Formats: sequence, structure tokens, C-alpha cells
Amino acid sequence: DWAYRRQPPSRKAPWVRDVDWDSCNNVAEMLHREVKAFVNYMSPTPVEDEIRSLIVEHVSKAVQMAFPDAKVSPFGSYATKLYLPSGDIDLVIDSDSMAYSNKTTVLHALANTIKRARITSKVTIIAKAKVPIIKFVTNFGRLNVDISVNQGNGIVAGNIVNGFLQDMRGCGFALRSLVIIAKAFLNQRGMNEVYTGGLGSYSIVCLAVSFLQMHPKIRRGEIDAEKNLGVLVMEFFELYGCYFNYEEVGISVRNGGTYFGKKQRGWYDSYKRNLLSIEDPTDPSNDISKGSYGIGKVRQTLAGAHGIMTTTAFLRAGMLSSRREGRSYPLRGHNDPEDMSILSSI
Amino acid sequence: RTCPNRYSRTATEDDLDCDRCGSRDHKMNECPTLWRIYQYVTDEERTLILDSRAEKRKLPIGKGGEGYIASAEWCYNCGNSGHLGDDCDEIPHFSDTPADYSAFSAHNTMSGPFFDPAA
Ligand SMILES: [Zn+2]
Ligand SMILES: [Zn+2]
Repeated sequence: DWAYRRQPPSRKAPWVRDVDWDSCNNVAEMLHREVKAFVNYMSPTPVEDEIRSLIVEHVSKAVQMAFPDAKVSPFGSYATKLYLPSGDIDLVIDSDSMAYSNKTTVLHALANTIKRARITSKVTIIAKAKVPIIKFVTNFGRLNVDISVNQGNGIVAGNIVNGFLQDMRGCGFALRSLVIIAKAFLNQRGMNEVYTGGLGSYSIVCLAVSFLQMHPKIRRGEIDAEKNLGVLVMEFFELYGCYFNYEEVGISVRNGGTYFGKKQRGWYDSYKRNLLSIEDPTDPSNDISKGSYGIGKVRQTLAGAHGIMTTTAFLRAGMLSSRREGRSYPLRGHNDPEDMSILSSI
Repeated sequence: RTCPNRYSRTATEDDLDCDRCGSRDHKMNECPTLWRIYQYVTDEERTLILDSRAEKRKLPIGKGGEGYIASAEWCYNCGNSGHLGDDCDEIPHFSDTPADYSAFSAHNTMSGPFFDPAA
């Protein structure tokens, strides 16, 4: 399960330690508090963030020593702080001199630079991918780093994600919560890597942004997403697990959130009908999720989790009502507070 | 086929009218209203939310447009606007779509303090 951090292995839901269940009036409130606690628990600590900055600085210095015109920038979930404790650090190098050299030669030179600086002892070069990269695990901190060259798009995308996190009034923490929970959930099942057919980080963010934009209660300005985390997490799994028509409908987060018909857009592939289509916020001609060929499995897994969550929610609702009728003792006290966790059931 | 919710409400042994919401698709102890409970804003807060969004309407994405949320309803089933996915009758739903309503339904928009039957 998700409880792999900072606790003896016997604990199954360590994030609920300080959750006050007794003052909750309903299941939505219980899950709201649990989501908040979980997201805070999974979010980067100042120390973790510091370790990452040190690594970025170290790599940046080493690269600039060898290539004086190079500019090293972090992007992806490091730049948006939407990373899980084990998440990769994505770096992109901007350099004119590299742009004029042979790609494979550049990647080898970079690999040697990184090894010579003792940042790592082993570098993998992936030269034939759509976006060629070098990959390594740092000696200090044991973190995965991916470096690409002259791929400016990632930085623009990161700025846009930060824009959504900051500017969607009342939705920022809700967006962070949905992304962290969806990532942790998919991560745990090995469905978060595009090269194995899973959903990449950027796709997960766009799904969460679209969900919030399209939600009728948010669209109508009736609720503050940040105060409804529990119900929104359940409804996120509900929409993308049980209801969303992947075959017909594509997602756009531009213009305040729209859908489009995949056929009208020419993004319908009759051999791969059920693929998710998400228009790239930085480039409307690009479908960022067409490589996620395992989306059918992702969908089933989300549906399964939604089923388990609702079943657990009904059990908790039963406990709350028997407590109200005086048939049972308080939730805290005789029970282990972790038994009230809903997230640990999925 | 895959959604586990589909099976929980198709039992027909005894009458299944839910005392909480009147639905025939589930028993009372499995009513979505047990968890689909929203914490609503006040009228003033709602005005503020909608006004601050309207200000960002013209801004492009990457320049503040991220804060804009449009008001039109879109359908998760056919991809058109003008209705919500649950209420779509333009194309069939998946065979395994649960019978109960989801968040994306007129049923849901008609609940809560802001619903005005006269509007
Ligand atoms: Zn009901
Ligand atoms: Zn429709």
C-alpha cells in the first residue's frame, strides 16, 4: 500500500494520526480531512526539497564547466512541486553549441561530464527516443534524474501548470490533492510511466485540471474546491473510472475548459479507439496522452478504486449513524484511528 | 463490464426504493447522497468567484488564463456542449456505465442552495 514513508511497516495509514474523526458530521467531511492529511504527508518536506535543489545545482555547475553556454533548468514535477518522494528530477539543457553538434556525441559528452563530477557512477543514454535523454541515479540522495537537450516545451508546460495551481481561485490545493493522490495510486500499480503505456505526470495534471474546470458545482461557482476534497476525490475516480467516454471525447483545458469530439478533430484512431486524448495546453496540434496505450487498464483500476471507496464510505456512514443513535462508542477511543481511513482501502 | 458499481444496484429481490433520495437503483445504505455532500459557499462568495473568473476570460493560457473557468456545460459522453454527460441522448453510453447518476448530471445541478427552479 501507500504507507511506505517514515513509519514502521505495521502502520497502514500513518497520515491519519492527527485527524480528528469525532467532530466529523458525515463521510464527505471525514474523507476531506483524510485527503488533506494524506497530501500534506506525501508532499515534499523542506529537507527533500533542499536535497533536490542541491542536486540540480551540482548538475548545473558540472554542465556549465564543460559547456559554458549551457543553461540547465528543472521542469516537470520538480518545478511544480507535484512530485512524490521517489519522483524523478527532470532537467533540460538549453545550449546553442549543443544544437549544432551531433546529438549522440552530445549525450555521450554529457554523460562523461556527469560521471566525472561524481554525481553518479552510471549513466544510461537513450538516444533513439522521441526525446533523447540521459538517465542516472544520484550517488547523493539516490534520486532519478533525466536530462534532455533543447526541449523548451517542458518549461513552458511547467509554468502553465504553476499558473493553474496559483490562479484557479479556490482550486489550487484541490488540484494538488487530485494530482498527488492519482499519482500515488497509479505509481503503486506501475501505471505512471508513459513508456509502459501508463499515464504520465503531465497527463495526470491535465485530467485533474479538466475535472475541476468541468465539475458543475465548481463551474457554477457554488463550491470552493479546497473545502470539498473528499467528495471531489471520489468524483474524480468516478468520472474517469466509470463514466468518461474515452472513445469519443477529447479533453482541452484551454478557454476555461472544453471537450471535443475525437473524430471531428481527426484524433480518432480506429485501431486504438479507447485511447485518451488530451490537447497539449502549449500546442493545440499535439495530443499528449496518445502514447498511453494502457489507458483501458488505468480506467478499470480507477473504477475498481471508486467501487472500494464507495463501499468503505457506506460502512463509515453506517458507523456514523449508529454513533448518532447512541448505539456505539466514539470513533476514536476503542478504535484505532487508522481503521477510519478510506484512502488506505484502495 | 468493469465498473463494480454496476452490480451493486441491480438486485431485484425486495423493493429497492431508497428512502434518502427515492432512487430505485440502490438501497438506502448504499445511497450516493451518503458521500456526495458538498460544502457550499455563500451568495457573496459566489459573486466574488464568478467576477474574478470573468476578469480572466480574455487572458491567454500562460498569461493568467489558467484562472478562467467557463460556464457552458459539456458532455463527457459525446463531447458536445449544452448538456451534461449523464443526460446525453446523442449517442449511447458505455454498456457498463453505472445506472446511478454521477456529479455530471442535471440531477446534481438541481440540488443545493443555489438551484432556482424558476430560472
Ligand atoms: Zn438514494
Ligand atoms: Zn452528449
